[in-house]
Amino acid sequence: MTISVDQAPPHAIAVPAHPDPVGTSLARRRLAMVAHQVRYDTLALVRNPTAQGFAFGMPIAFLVLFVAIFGNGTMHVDGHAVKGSTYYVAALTVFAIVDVAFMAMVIAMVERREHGVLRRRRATPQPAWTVIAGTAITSIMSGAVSAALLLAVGRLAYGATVAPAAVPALLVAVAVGVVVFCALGFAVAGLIKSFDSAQPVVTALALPLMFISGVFIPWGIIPHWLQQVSGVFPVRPLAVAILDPYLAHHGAGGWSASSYAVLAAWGLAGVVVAVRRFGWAPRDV
Amino acid sequence: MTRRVRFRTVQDMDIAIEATDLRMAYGATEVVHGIDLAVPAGEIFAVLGPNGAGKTTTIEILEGFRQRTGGNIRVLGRDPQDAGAEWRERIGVVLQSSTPEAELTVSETLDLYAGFYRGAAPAARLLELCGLKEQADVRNKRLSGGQQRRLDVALALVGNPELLFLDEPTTGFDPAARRAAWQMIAGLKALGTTIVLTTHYLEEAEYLADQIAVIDRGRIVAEGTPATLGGRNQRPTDITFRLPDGLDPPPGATPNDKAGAEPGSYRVATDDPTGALYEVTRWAVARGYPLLDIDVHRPGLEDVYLELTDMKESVPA
Repeated sequence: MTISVDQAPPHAIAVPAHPDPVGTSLARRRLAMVAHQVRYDTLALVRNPTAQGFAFGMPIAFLVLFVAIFGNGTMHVDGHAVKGSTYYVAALTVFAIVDVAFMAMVIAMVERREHGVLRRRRATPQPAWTVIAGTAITSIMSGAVSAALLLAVGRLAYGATVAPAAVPALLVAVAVGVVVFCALGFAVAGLIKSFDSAQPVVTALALPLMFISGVFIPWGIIPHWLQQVSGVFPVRPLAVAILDPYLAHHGAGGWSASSYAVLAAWGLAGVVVAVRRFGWAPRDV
Repeated sequence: MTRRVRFRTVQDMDIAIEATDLRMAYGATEVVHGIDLAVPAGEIFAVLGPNGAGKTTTIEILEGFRQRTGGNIRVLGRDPQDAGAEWRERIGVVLQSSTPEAELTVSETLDLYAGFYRGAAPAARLLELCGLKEQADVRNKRLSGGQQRRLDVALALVGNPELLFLDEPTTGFDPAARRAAWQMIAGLKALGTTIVLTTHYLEEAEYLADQIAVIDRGRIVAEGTPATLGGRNQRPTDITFRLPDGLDPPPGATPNDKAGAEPGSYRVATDDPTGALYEVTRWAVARGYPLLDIDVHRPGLEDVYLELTDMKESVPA
């Protein structure tokens, strides 16, 4: 018996969306699936006007503003002299990373979960890890782009440069920063119960930490005890890790082991909480 | 000779979904108390029930989104709890509430989801089927509520599912959009898709379903075709009419005691509506009496449903 296309059930007239040539391993297909998802998630992110403004515009606007307010004179940070603009390039790179890889990411993640997008993606044959990997990569990439934009503006407009020997230290600091804050983003998203509370919660978590970590306010005028407090949380260690390479030609090594230790601890804690608290289903129903 | 088509195993089986003694408890509170279900392949199976009856929980267990606490289920021959990607290729899910990715266009969203399946339906066919041809290049956030819902359905169909779960697919639709959705769902059935539908709308179940199960308080309280549910086909037909003041009713008629009945309204309950109607009208014509507001009424699905779910209310769970 032959079945004509007209009579065939819908699943019999499928055309392969992604041809499956001989020799394509499952792993490669999965990676292609992650890339496919990243492509569309990035497209969605880039089109979102709020994300554009907050993620990429605001750190640069703050840089211009802060240099205008606090001046470009020499500042002293832990015994090192640094130009005001250079200080703010480093500090606001931290803001760019926290803003994009953490704050915007938490809000987007909770929105997707509460609006049923995560669950609908889970209803497809796509494995769970590729959904998570795709989301993480999109967030890490956009955090890195936002940081890179700011560093580029800092270099071109304010002459904030790092010694060639310290460039790897700067790249590593940015990379570690986006990964750690992305992990913390997954963790916090897992703790938030409704879309309405996502924005206030991330703001309440991130803003005070950025204030006491010298991201907005010059480090020198922050009281000593608050400086001590900020060292325990992840924002200040990232600021140190990013500023150190700029200070390297003044004699510092560009690497701050204790900062990386604190960041690693927060990153790990983030992963642990994220794994335990992750959910596909809307919670606020 | 049978032609072998990939993913067609369900066509060889008679039963798409089978559940025996399905149970679900949250902590110490059991919300599904042992449900038995059999959904024949190629049919539309409607699950009706009040809010909080356990409908969505049951469906989510069948979809593999929730771990049951007891009983056995087979969905397309697999236990959803440990069925993997191969199984997900064969089912489609329309969630009760979900919004599509806001910043993508309709056709980009279809392409995104097509990338998750080994074999995907052509986007043009899905746009046509779901009535979204005009909106192909519109961003999802600019779609109306009804259009977003249709996109939900289109996304569930991307993988050419053999089995489709529709959780309240037409809630919030205007009557015209609901009709269009029904025709689309009936069209999917005609193509051989098995459909599990939950709904609040009895006329939806009546129009679409081959089988209906009524769930109330975590139990199935009635099961049958739209025509036979709750013994509906065996209930008497009511002939009601009103007589002008002061006239005596015909033999066999009793005062109509239903709520809202006007004074002078009478009722004849009969298993032989043709004969009874003839007797009543002959009686009236012979006397020259008018029969005002004459009506022949068989109990509707709604009457039966309300009885089924009300009845349970008086019995402690």
